[in-house]
Amino acid sequence: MSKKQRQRLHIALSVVVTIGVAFFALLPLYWIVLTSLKAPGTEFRLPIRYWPDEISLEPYRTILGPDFNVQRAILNSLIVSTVTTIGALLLASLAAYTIARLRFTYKWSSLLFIQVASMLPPIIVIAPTFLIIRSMGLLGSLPGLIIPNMIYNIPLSTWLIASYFAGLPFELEDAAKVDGSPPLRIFRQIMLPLAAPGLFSAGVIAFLGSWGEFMLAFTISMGLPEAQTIPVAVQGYTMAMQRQWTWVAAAIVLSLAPVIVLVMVFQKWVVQGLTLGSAKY
Amino acid sequence: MTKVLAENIIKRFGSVTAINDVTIEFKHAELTVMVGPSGCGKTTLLRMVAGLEDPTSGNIHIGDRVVNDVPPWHRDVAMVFQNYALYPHMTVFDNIAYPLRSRGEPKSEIKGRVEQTAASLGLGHLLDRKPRQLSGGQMQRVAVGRAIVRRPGVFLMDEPLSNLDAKLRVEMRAELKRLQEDIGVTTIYVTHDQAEAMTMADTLIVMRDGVILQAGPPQTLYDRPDNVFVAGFIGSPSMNFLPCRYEGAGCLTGRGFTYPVPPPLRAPVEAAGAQPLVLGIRPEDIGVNPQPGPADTVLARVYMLEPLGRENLLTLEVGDVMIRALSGPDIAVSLDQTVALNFLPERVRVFDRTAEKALYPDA
Ligand SMILES: Nc1ncnc2c1ncn2[C@@H]1O[C@H](COP(=O)(O)OP(=O)(O)OP(=O)(O)O)[C@@H](O)[C@H]1O
Ligand SMILES: [Mg+2]
Repeated sequence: MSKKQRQRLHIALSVVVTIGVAFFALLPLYWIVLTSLKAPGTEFRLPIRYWPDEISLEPYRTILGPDFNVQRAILNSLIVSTVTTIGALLLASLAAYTIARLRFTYKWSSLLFIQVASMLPPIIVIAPTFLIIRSMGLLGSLPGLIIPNMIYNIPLSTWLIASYFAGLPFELEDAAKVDGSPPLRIFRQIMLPLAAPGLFSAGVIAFLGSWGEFMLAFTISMGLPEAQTIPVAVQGYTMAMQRQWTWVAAAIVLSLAPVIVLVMVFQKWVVQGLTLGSAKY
Repeated sequence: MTKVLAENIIKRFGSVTAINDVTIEFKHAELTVMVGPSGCGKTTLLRMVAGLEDPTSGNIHIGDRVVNDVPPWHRDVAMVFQNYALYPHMTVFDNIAYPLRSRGEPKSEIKGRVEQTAASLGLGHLLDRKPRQLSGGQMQRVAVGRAIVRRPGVFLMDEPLSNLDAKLRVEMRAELKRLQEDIGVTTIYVTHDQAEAMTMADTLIVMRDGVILQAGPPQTLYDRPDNVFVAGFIGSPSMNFLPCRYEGAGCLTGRGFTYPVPPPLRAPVEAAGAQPLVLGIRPEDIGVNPQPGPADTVLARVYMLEPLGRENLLTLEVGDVMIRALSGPDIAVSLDQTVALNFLPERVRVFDRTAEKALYPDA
């Protein structure tokens, strides 16, 4: 085989594999969308149809109506995820800068040590977290969710951002110092912008993580609608209301929409951030 | 008055001593050039003046105050870094504007200043580019621009022209020198370029292994080097050295030659006695005579002849030492021919080979 032929074969194989993986990943999603567009009560009709016969917006109307009020859960999720992400990035970037730049012994091992916190199975930390949040009087409130979410996300964010900072040349900070900028301004004007890809990927991970997080949200929300995020709310729908799967499907589709928009907007950054080794600035 | 004084500066990195007890004053409004071999501590000294490195001991003064505890952003210096250190996420305009902005200059003024500076460096058409879209020489000029856009108390320039082509380098060095004189800024300038060192310096400093070997006007270092290292380091092509001894009878004798000691040097040479010595003579101070006569005492074999256009560079073997001489462009010699050399007596230098110190009549 010539080199060109081999290259073609390589490309063809990659395309086939990618399509295969995408098929398996997207099939459930497609099924959910399909279900959400069926008239309630028709979702189990046989034989199985892979194509909608007629489109019904009834499930969406119901789920957005006063009985379910799914918008509220989505708004709660948006608040929790956004504040979690911003807070985690803020704290993590400061920690990362310290680890990447200050000279002290065991600095990289301290970074590893921080990771331990995120490696514990959630089930182990859930009870103590509950007790702490209760003693803070924050049960059943969004801040009570945001604080632990933020803390869970700091280790990985710190790791990602620190690797980014470590790759930036010291001379840039030296130049900025001589040019008249004190450290905090250098951090803001030079270091943060240059670590943007790392910040974005850490941010996306934190956002998606807290968006889909269930156990903590379930525990802290105490069943109060004003503290329920979308996964908790959807789980509630499956328990109550005669189990109308079309409604559940519609709620899931709505809950996915912001996430899909986010990933599409920041796609370039996410990929860049996850391939840190090849980072060029 | 912003003179800069480094006082008994020692700088160690772990076990490496980068600067070993240096005391030197950089005079107000003067341009001081520092030269020396790679790793001798030039950048380290600049960084200590900028405040980017703390001396292990000793004091840095800028103007009338000791600035050891003053952070870089309060020192009022501008620096061109050896490796440019441009901000990669900012355009050329923003890079040059950065020092003005971070010192809170009014917006209206910044635009004019940046454009004027960029134009003077031939960067006017590149203002919207990012550093990675520039050539090495262009990046270096942006780095220079970022330093000269302000009127600081002190300029620190670490090989600011090293990456420019020959023509641009000559233009820019004149430009920089002119600017420095116009605004009268105390400047410390590091270079490996002989021509830059000689033409730009008010004071020239030669360093080696973290110490200053000699400091003074460039012509003085050229004419009256204190030691073998300075003599060999300043000037291109560099000074020739012929090992020899004083064997009485007013003559220096080395392998393959004898040379009468020039009268002014007789006293110090005689005082040195039987010490091993070195005779130093610059290539341009050697006369080459293709027809040796019986009276000639320095004979050489022509090893190589390289025409440089305006003159010829000859490589010659005296005894077993290779030396170089510059002659007129029309000299007629052939390879391996024996020629006679005439050293200009007033240009001959003699050094103590062990101490590497120059012998001068009044020393
Ligand atoms: N941060 C550092 N850590 C350890 N050693 C260092 C550090 N900076 C410089 N040195 C050492 O100090 C010595 C002086 O370095 P410096 O950079 O000042 O040399 P230089 O004269 O500027 O050389 P060049 O002409 O190559 O730029 C060298 O031996 C170098 O290895
Ligand atoms: Mg250097």
